[in-house]
Amino acid sequence: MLKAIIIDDEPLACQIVQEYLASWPQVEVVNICHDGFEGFKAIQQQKPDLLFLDIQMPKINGFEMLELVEHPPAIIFTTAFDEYAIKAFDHHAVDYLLKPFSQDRFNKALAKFTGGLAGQSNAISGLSSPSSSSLSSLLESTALSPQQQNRIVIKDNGNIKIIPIEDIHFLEAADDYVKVITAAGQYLKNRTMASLEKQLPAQAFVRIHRSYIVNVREITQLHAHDKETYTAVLRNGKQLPVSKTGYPRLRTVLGM
Amino acid sequence: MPTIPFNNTTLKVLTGIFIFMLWQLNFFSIWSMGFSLQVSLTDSLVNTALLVLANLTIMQIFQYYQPPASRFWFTFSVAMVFAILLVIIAQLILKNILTNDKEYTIFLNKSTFIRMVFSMLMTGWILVLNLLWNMLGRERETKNRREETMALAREAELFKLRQQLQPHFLFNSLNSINALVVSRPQEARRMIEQLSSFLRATINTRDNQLVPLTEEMEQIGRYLQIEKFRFGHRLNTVLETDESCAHAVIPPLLLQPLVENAIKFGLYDTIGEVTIRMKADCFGGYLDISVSNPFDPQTSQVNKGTGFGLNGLQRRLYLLFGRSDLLTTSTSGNLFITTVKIPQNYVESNNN
Repeated sequence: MLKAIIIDDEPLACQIVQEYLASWPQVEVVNICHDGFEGFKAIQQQKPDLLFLDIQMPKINGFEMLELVEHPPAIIFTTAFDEYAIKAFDHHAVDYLLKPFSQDRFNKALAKFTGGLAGQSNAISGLSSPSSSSLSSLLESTALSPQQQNRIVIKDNGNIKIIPIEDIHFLEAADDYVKVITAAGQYLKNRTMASLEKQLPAQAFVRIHRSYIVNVREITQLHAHDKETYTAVLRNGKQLPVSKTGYPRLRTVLGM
Repeated sequence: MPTIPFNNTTLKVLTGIFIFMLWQLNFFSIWSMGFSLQVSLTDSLVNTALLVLANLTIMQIFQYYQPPASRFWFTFSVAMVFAILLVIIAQLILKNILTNDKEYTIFLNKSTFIRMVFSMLMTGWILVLNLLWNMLGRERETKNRREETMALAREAELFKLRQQLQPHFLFNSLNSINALVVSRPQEARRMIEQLSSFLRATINTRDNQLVPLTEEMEQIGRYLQIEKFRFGHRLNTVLETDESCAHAVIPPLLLQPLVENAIKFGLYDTIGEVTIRMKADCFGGYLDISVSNPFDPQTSQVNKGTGFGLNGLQRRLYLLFGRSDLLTTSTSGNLFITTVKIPQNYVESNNN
């Protein structure tokens, strides 16, 4: 038996997926969620094999929710009209269904999924279950919605936190994670420095060092050590190194 | 297209006076030299008639062929040759009519040069006048075309702004209908009706006329019905219209993006039940409509401009009323309030 979770904020949209699934007895719907928070919890607890995921949802959108899941299951996106991401799906999701979709179209997506499971060693398997790396590249190649551009979503002891980017003091590289330091505390985010650097607005956040991205509004002083290395002093007293390549970037943003 | 000045009554009168004075000038100058009335009349009439004829021909030609500015001197030279020929023809005619006046024949030969200069002056003047007139006409035409293009562009932009938020709404509504068809066919039917009348009203509206507020409220009612089908479990709406707004008018479909924005903001920014409140008031020559929705002050940056879908609305208000202060937003606790002011004594023609 394969476990599936439906995540969509419209009850009727969940209902149609359930109805279409009636002809797939090998798939069982273990949960129906109406927002990303519920969805995230359900995925953690029930470890489904398949997700039907809407993108536009309350509080955090489908992509943001996926960012939080460590080993995401196979995903079939269901969306009405997506300005942001349709292209990106092509390569990374099992399939995407454009609402309203027919039973036939739905069956095709499911066949892709089950077919992929049957032949995991052959080429199709790449389709069925996105590996962490292909998923993260999906998340990174996806254009951001306006809301996504001014917040980041973080998992904090099983809770989900939405951090407005103004609240961020700086980001620090920590192995495969990025440490996000705010006034309220620090959090780990499983994204790369490069992808976060791309997401954050360039006029407010500068990669001053291989391991640091800083919110320029937090900088109070720049100390010169010698000709080429500097230290940035933040409002909270923290000192961050500025590298040889980071310094000109900082200068440009600060208009020096 | 105004190529010939004679199309205009004032110009016709002016030209008439001008020709009359030209003839008078010709007549009296010969008369004052002591020639008989008959001679003076004949000479002046023949000259004036030929001159008028020649210039009418020039104008007629220009109606069909407008010499480009680069060929001005060529055109001018042709006209000058024409003017000289005119005098020669006049001489021939006059010599043949007034054969028995020796004195006049001598005078005619003597005055050839001055007649030619006079003819050239007249023809040259008419020619330049015509060219200028044509140029003005062309310019006016270009200006009209440019204005027309701009009006069309504005119309298209307004249309786009009206349509902006439709596809998402439309596809999601169709998806809901798809779900209802099997489980609750009666409701599916009702939703199709609502959606159809909503879309019909959307298509039938024209931007350049204001509609009664009551009509617009009906449209909002349809819209909310559909949204309630989709989000019924979470969405509450309260609509209040003050009695003072019985005769208020509003640009069509203006409220829908406002409400849509509030619903989206409310539904996507919070979890749980959402109440959207809409209030219409009228005072001081304005219709004042405010829409409020709950939001989460912890995670939203509402200070950042108007956000969401309000930019299109802002632009539309600017295109319609030429003002950018009609849309304002504010917050009060966990409520986000959007207010639109619609001038009630606005004269349509300002717009054109």
